Amino acid sequence: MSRTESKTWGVMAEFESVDGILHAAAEVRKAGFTRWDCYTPVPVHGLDEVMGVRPTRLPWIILIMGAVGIGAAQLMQHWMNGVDYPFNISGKPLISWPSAIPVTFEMMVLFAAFTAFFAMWIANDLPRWFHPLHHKPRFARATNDRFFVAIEARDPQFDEQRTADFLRGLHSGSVETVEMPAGSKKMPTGLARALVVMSCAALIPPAMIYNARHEPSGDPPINLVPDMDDQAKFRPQGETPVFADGRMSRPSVEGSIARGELREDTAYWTGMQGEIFIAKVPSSVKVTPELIDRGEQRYGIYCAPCHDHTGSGNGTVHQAAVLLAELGKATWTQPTSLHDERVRGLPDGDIYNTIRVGKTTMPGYGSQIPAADRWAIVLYVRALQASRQQ
Amino acid sequence: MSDKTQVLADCQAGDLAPRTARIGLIVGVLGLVFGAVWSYLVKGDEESRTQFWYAYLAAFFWALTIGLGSMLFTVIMHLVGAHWSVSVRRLAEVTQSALPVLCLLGLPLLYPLLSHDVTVWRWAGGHEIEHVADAAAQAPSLGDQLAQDEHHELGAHKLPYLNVTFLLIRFAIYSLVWWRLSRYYLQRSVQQDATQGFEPTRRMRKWSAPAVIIFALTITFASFDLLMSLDETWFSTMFGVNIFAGAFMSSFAWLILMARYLQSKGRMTQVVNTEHYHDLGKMMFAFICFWAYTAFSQFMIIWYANMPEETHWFQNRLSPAWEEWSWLVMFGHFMLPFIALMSRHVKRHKQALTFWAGYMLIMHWVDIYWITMPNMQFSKTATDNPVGPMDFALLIGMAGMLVWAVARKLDRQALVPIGDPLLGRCLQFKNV
Amino acid sequence: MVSSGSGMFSPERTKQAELEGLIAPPLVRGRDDFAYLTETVCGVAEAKRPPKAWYVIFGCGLLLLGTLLTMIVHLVVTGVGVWGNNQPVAWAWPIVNFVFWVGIGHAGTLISAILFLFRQGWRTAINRFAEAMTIFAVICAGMFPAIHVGRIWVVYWLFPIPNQMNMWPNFRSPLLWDVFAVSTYFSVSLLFWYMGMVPDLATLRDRAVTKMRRFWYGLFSLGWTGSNRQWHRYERTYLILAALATPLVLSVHSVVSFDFAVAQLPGWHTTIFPPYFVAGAIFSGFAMVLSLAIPARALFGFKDIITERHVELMCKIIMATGMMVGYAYAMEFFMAWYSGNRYEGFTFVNRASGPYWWAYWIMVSCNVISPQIFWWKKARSNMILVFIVSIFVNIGMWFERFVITVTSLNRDFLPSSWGYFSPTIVDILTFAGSFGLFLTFFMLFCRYLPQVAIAEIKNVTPHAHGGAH
Repeated sequence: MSRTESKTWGVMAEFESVDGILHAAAEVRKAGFTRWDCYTPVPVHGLDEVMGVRPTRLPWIILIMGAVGIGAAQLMQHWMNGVDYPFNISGKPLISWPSAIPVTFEMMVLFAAFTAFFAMWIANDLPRWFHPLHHKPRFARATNDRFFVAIEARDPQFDEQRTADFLRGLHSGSVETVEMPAGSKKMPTGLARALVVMSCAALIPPAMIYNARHEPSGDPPINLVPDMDDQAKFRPQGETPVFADGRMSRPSVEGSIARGELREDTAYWTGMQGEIFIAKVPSSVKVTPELIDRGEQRYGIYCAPCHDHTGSGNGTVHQAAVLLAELGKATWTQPTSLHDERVRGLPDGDIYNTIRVGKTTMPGYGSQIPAADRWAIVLYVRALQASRQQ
Repeated sequence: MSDKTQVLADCQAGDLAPRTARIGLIVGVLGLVFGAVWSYLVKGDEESRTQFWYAYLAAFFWALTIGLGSMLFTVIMHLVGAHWSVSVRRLAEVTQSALPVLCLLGLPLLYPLLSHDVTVWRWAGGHEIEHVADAAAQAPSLGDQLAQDEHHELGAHKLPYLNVTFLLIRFAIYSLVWWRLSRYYLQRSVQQDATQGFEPTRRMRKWSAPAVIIFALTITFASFDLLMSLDETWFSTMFGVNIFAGAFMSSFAWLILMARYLQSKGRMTQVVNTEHYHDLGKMMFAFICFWAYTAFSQFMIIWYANMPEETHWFQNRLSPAWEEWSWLVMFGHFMLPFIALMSRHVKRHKQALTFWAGYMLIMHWVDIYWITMPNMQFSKTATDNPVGPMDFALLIGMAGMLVWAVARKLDRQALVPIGDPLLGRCLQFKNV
Repeated sequence: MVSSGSGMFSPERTKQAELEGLIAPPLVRGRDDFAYLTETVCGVAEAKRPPKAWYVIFGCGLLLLGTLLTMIVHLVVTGVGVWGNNQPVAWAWPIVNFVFWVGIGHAGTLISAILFLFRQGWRTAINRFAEAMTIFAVICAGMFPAIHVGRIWVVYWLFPIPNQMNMWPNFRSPLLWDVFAVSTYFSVSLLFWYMGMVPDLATLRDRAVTKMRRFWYGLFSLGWTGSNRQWHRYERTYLILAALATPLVLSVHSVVSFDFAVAQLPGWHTTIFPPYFVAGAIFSGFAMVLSLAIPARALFGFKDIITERHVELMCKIIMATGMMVGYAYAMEFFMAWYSGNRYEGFTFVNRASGPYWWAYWIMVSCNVISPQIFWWKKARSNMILVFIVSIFVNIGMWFERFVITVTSLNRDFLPSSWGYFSPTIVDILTFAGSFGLFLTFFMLFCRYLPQVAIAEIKNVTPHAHGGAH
């Protein structure tokens, strides 16, 4: 058959109302046609039953893809955060189901919705560039205010004349034969080329991603605006035209003292003279009753929780810890009693040093208690010991 | 084929009502008595006695929420002017008229509130706050001591709200409001049956918006007062919404069961059809999802932030004693019915829908029980779930009482609001 | 089935009830034949020239869009320091704008999906319109977090895309849930919008007189013929998409609320946030629909399609959701006291009487008090008043996000790190510019696409239903 010769596609009949189309559809079905359809501007309710359209299977496909979305989301999250790249965030378990739920839900919806959308068009045999009916001027009203029935030529019962007569008998407003138009049925070549180019271009990002995954790089990330990488600031050992000597690093100002360098009185600051603890409070500390009072107060804050107010090592921390130890939840060594013979015999410098850096299980308090207060505490400890002089 | 008189005859409960009420009453009394005997006489220890009151509270609140949900159903349907639900609305109206009786069923709870024999609401001993302080002094360990101090401080802070007198005043107000509202909506509707006028519909619609507001506030605070305050240190702004979601869901389940029961006895066969069941099923499904949404959001926010003042509530429910029950709530109250009711065919299949409606009512109790019982002091340290025959006996008993309270009102008017101008639409209605 | 013979349920009685306003009257006023509806809606897209006001608004839109682009370039080149965000209010203006726009983006899908499931036929007059609004609002919303990252060229790090550093995003963070929620929401809304539009695009194609129109409408209508088999699958899919989109709407704003609520900050951490945010989103979305629909119905001659009744119903929804938001405000305040947590308590006192008291009271008066006027039917049918209240609600809902974000952050646990946030001019112009983005898109939509769902609105007229069976 030659391509230029026009060929009949089918016959279409126009109706003015929903009732008309419902009636016509029932009759067409009764007449035993199989290749036919109704074309309406709105979905006509009841037409499915009249035409005998079987319920679509789309819901099942969508349900399955929704389930796939759930599975994919679960696998993705647990594999990425629990297996491939585990790291601790705010103490949450690596595989924590509650925090996986929002993304799982979204992926379920995403998969199901995309499936619904695309599967519907595929099932409807759309998009298509060409349809013979669209070449009938009358048919333009199918999307406006008229209802059509069209019986196709490939129906086994089709006979152009008899079918047209049959449709006319259904009180149709007009019955027309629909030809296969002679012209091109293909989409314009420009559009086709654009689609090819676009599909090829769409492959580039996945290819780049694939490549990236297989060639890890230690290079710093590319920055379009590199002001974070290249900041206007002085760096050690750098050069600058700002100063005459061309150096970024500036020498200290005359007479400046670096932090921690003004502690020449080692006895006062460390409690040691050379390698030996000093026996008595250094001369730079002025022993006054006020200082000992200050020592008592500081002792009450920092020492009494463990050593208790009398110095015998029975503080509240100790009491609580013993309870915990009994429950097997902790191990515990009792704080030293300051009335121990050994402690009595220690030089003042040693006690000072213990306060500063700690000893065995006792941590250092150097960062909380300034040096002057440490000596005050030493004095108060001596006073405590003296109160229990045997 | 059917004319007015036939429809009217079809829509009368007749002697079915007293018979059903009688059965309900017998089951109810037997269930409640069995529960009391089991815990007080058979078991008899302090633990079982306390558990009895917790279980009673759970069963009571379960029945109350069904009544409240039904009232909300009536009011909401007027608010939105729905026509699909008109043929079952009278069933909801009758259920809501049982609310005064349901509130009276809460009276036994005065015992744990006022006596010191059992402790359900710890704050109920509020005026003896010093007593708590004494207990704190004698507490065995420092940790307990601190915890008790904190309770004490919180308790003192909440005392102006959480005290027995104010609770009783509030509950009296809720009951009064519910009684008035339920009466108003039933009476207007019945009045319309006789007069066939449009005025009652107009009035009921007019009042529906304020009624919903009042309802939202009362059910929220009732749930705070009775359930949330069982652990007076815990708080959650979502709590009222969660309870509302469960209550509304269970009202659909209840209406399905009620309509099915009446139809199986040959009543209202011509006015309730598959389309109406389908819609009730859809609404039940929707509120199963909404309930899950509120419950999960509440869990997610508390679990993620993990702040000690709130997280203990869930920690308790994820402890060995309650873990399985929590899974039951999650799977039984959401996952399983969600999958089952997704299909249109299940919602249109009467037997299947009846099964799931009954199932959801039980699951609603499982949820309320899950909120209530783990607050019991004994169960916090236990390794086994304390649920036993007594709990189920109380559930069955309370269900019996609910049936009695509803059925005794069933024959006082038609089973369908035959005067409602929307009924015609309702009967023609078809699902897409 | 009860036959129509009995007096009690007779059609006459139904008719009477309809007349007295107890049953919804017909949705379309005046002429409701298919050809007239097609003509009314398509006429706008086919007109030679749009109304003059269109040019004015479109021009304003373009101007603001230019401002936005300038501000974004300035931001990217200079850095996030051009904004007012700083410690302690590190999450300020951009997140407020993000939540504001996402919230507006909720009404569209809500009208399409939830009202569809609830068989609210009146949605057909406004759903296309609202869906378009959703799409453009979500674009505006998505822009803010994207530019907030500062180095916008690495924004792909938000997605689980394999990269050369072999790293994956952290799925235990609510911010990542947000990425998934908002992008899913955008794509599903787009599908929903487009799918609903295909039959109408086919109408425009079949009426097209110029080659350009035939080509473009033909391309995007995918060769739709309106055959019943197509409609059958189409309707089923539409229903399923609606059923998927309904929980999606809820989930999106819930996830946005998780950004705040799972934190430990008083004022953010409260369990009612998810439904409260959803109600607020619907509230603001409907307000925006009204703000757009009232001028549009006058401008494009849709007064018979978007009738007073539609406006009235939307007013009622605004009032209902406003009340839900009010409930949430009240619950938060009650719990702040009831919890006995002093930080929580302070935050709420600070909101109402602290340095941002004005923001709080603007929020309350716009969101809770102003919609109360809709109790009166007269107010609901006065278009100017409705328009004003809808603008108030938009303002109030912006301030709600401002109050939540800024007042909670500006005074938290440590008084030593309290601070006061003020936006910079760049902040303000960026926000104003986002309206330009929105308006430009929206005006183009109004000009070239069917603003009302033609096939769907035909479906709610009596002509779409057979009378004889």
